[in-house]
Amino acid sequence: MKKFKSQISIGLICILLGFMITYQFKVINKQNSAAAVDSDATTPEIIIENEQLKNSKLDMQKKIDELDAKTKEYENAAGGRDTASELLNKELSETRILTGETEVQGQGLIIYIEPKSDIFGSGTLNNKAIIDQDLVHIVNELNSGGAEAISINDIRYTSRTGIREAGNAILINDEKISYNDRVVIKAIGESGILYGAIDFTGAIPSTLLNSCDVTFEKSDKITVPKYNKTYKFEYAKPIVEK
Amino acid sequence: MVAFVGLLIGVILGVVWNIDIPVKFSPYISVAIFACIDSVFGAIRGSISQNFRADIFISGFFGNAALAVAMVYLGDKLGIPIYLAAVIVFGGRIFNNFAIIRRQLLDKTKSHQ
Repeated sequence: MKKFKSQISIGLICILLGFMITYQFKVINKQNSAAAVDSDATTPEIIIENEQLKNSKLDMQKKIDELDAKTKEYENAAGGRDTASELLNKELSETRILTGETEVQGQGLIIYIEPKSDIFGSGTLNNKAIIDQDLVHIVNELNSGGAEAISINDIRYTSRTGIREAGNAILINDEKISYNDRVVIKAIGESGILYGAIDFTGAIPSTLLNSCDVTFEKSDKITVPKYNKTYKFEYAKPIVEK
Repeated sequence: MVAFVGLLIGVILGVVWNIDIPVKFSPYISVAIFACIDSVFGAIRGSISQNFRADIFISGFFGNAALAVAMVYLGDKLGIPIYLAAVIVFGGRIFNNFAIIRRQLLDKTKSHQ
């Protein structure tokens, strides 16, 4: 009788244990799937919106290119008339290069900044492999080395470009660069001098060297894209000499 | 045998029965489950070494679970994860019991040969 009683009690306890384990499994699963559903529900909208914006950007880019081609035609037509307008035309195209309004090509240096993979997987979100200061520093070195045109991840660096952290990305010309993705900096200039400028100790911040693999190579043919926005001068007005 | 039947019934009950326990009790149940598994291992060990006592098993089962839950609650209130103590102790004991069970079973099979 005593044996029977203990058997029953063990059975009951096992029922309880089994129930608790299954119940807990169910709850945890439900939580996980709820979390998954939550993120699923919000992401598609963002993705769709992103897609639409990308498409509209492409359309606008096409329009800009068309208009650019048209102005070029007008300029050429005007430039062909006499030497004065031809000179003006030439000056205009040089100014364009300076302001970054045309795509340019030439010899120079390409710098690849590849964030090191985080082996321990710890703190990847808070850990910023690349920070804005690093990029500013490198761009400054390149400018000192006589770079004529610079782009960061194919974003043209102009005289009015700021490189700055904003939210969870580095913002350059209102375009985002991730802290933890590969960054490619292209600079057109005398490649030997640029190479020397970047190769010099301290040209690349040591913090960046710790968190990223930085490699650079000379190249004979680098294409730097044009600056996509229009300049606006609301406050700066030229002084008219009397 | 009884234990397995009981476990099976419990699992089926858990799957079928849609009772709503608030989610905030979830960590308590987790630790309680750990305590209970510890008790069950202790019981298996006891039954193999022939000194199993149902009253010790039952009181241990509920007592351990209650103590573990109390620890979680206290840790929650004090802001230190005391439940880790429970988890470590129970985890260690589970391995301990399992080691003894293993040894005794191996000895038994050897003596049968």
